[in-house]
Amino acid sequence: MVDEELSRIIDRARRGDQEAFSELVIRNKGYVFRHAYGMLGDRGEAEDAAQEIFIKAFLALRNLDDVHAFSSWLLRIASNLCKDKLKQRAKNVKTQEMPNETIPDLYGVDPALKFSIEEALARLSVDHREILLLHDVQGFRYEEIAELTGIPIGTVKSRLFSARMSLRKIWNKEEGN
Amino acid sequence: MHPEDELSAYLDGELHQEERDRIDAHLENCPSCRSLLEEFIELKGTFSSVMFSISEPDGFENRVIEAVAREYRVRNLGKLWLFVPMLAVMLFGLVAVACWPLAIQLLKGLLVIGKALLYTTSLAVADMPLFSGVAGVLTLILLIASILSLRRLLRSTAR
Repeated sequence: MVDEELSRIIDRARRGDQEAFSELVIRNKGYVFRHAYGMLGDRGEAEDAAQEIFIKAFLALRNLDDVHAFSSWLLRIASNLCKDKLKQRAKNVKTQEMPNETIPDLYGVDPALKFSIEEALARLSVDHREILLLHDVQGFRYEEIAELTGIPIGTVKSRLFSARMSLRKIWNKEEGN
Repeated sequence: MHPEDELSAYLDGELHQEERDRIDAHLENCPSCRSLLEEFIELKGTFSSVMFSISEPDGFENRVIEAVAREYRVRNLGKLWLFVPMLAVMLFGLVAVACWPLAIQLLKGLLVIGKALLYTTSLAVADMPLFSGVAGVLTLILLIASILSLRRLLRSTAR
């Protein structure tokens, strides 16, 4: 749901108003950055990606048909861009597995616990990572995820289940170490 | 049979009432499914709280806003490569309208010169076809290169 004020800001930004777009950046920076970080597992890369996502969004904002779908539209751009970066990374390292970067300093929660869950996330497949982030972090419903990713709702359900099973398996193994 | 694959959707509140009732009944008598559900709940909570504790780097929004503004300037100035010659033509047109009698004289003069040039050129082409062809191609290349360099210059100025 989008409130009226946000709707007006999006409308102004669509007409090329940079100040309005800055407001959108301020409102959405956290969740775009978190998504990029969750997908890429590296703060530096996530910052670059988030910047690219916003530039892409600014340039493509005229094509947004429904301002009420802004969040999912932005996340679709974010997801696609992160997947492209991961593909590029895989090409560069010429390996089937995603590399596991050292997770840089983070603050707030117990660092040991953070390392575990983030390390576990980095070991998941890209699709599993994406669906967990979209549901558990961004808070999208199954129907919205189906629309955003272009997969059937049944696949969303089964993919989320297998993503959780994989995360549980990896996390438990790491906790045991 | 354990409805394990339904537990994830059950936890997310994505099941119909009938399905929920069926899972509720099963959970009452199945410790292993209860345990899996509890693990899912814990995992979801931990995962969400870890991810929510991640915040963007300091000054991130300013860098994004600057990058967007830069992109905007580049886009707008990039269009000038077409705009500048068009503006020149329009200005020339305006001057011509303002000084109409003089322009008529000028045009007549230009017509005479043009005719003479055309005649000379046709003779030159007939006499030296190879030289004329090469000169024509070089002129065209020079014209295209000028347009492209003007375009690049305007874009690099924008950056």
